[in-house]
Amino acid sequence: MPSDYPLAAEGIGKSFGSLDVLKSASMWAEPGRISTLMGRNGSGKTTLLRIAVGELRPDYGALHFGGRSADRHSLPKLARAGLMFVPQRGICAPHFTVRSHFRAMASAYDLGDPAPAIDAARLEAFLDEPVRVLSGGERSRVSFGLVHYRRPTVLVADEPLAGLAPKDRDPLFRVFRDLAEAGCAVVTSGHDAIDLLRLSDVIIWSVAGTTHHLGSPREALEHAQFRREYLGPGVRLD
Amino acid sequence: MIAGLPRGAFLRSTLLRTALVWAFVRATVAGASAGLAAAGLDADVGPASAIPVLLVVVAVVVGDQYRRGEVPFLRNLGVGPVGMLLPAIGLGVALELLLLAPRAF
Ligand SMILES: Nc1ncnc2c1ncn2[C@@H]1O[C@H](COP(=O)(O)OP(=O)(O)OP(=O)(O)O)[C@@H](O)[C@H]1O
Ligand SMILES: [Mg+2]
Repeated sequence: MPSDYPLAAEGIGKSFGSLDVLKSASMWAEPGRISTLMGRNGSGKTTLLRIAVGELRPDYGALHFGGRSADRHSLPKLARAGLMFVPQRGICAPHFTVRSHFRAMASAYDLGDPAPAIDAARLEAFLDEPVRVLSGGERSRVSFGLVHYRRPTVLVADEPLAGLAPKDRDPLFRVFRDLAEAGCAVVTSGHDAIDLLRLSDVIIWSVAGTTHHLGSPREALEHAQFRREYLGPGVRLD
Repeated sequence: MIAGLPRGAFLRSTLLRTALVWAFVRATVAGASAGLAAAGLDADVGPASAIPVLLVVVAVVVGDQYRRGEVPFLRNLGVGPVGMLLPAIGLGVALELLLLAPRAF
């Protein structure tokens, strides 16, 4: 039952004007696993994730968080209960320093020493810089350094790999793996098929307003229609 | 439960912006009413001006938080719309009381 998962959205419908983006889409976050939404551009992945975390209201469908059902979610409320949502542009406030983000997080959630998270994300050199002077990849390191520090129980990250050089992805993968191993339910999305298939435990295919839970990356690779309509012929894991 | 801005740079910056916007709005109102008085029109700015002044100040400060991209982080800190309004309302009310209270006695 999706309602048993820490975060779930079930049978979601959403239109923008005359555009029916989602007709019956579902996603759920499983503790200890990394689930990844894949699908063509404009298939509604971001829309579904934003609805699941309370950043957008669905037209219909059921939402669940921590075993409770609701017609709509509110991100601040879910955040206080342990969820983090990292949109594609990251979570940083451009005009504030990296350090003030860590301080604010420490104060909001009564967290301990941020040094290990700052260290893991290699942020020492930027601590007193305002985020707006950092490059896209460096900003992403700040966002996920904050995730590492907060250690959420549910992490929803939209296209976390976008704009990251292949070499710079490894530390991010470690943060995701580390969180999942500690029991966090991680949901991501993106188009870097090979990296995401390697990183994920579960693949969800977003297509034609609905979602298909394909199972493990291996099972997804064997799904003929997913291969044909999304991956294309060149993608293989080995 | 309503979470307000955590202490530190985010709260300080919001309070500073509130004070600056409030000073600017109050100076504009004072200038305009002095101008009207000079033209012989009755333009006494009494306590009734506090509400519109506060509305403007809060709208500008919170609008600025959206404009400068602070909201995704604040929401992840558990701060919702009400929490975002609180510092501007709190300081705005305090400044209005300081300004208007002497006249009431
Ligand atoms: N606020 C909005 N107003 C109008 N249309 C919107 C809005 N948000 C999304 N859409 C439309 O909904 C569709 C799905 O958008 P969404 O961002 O969910 O796609 P996506 O699967 O995340 O795509 P991508 O892979 O490019 O990130 C798009 O056609 C988009 O133009
Ligand atoms: Mg998207």
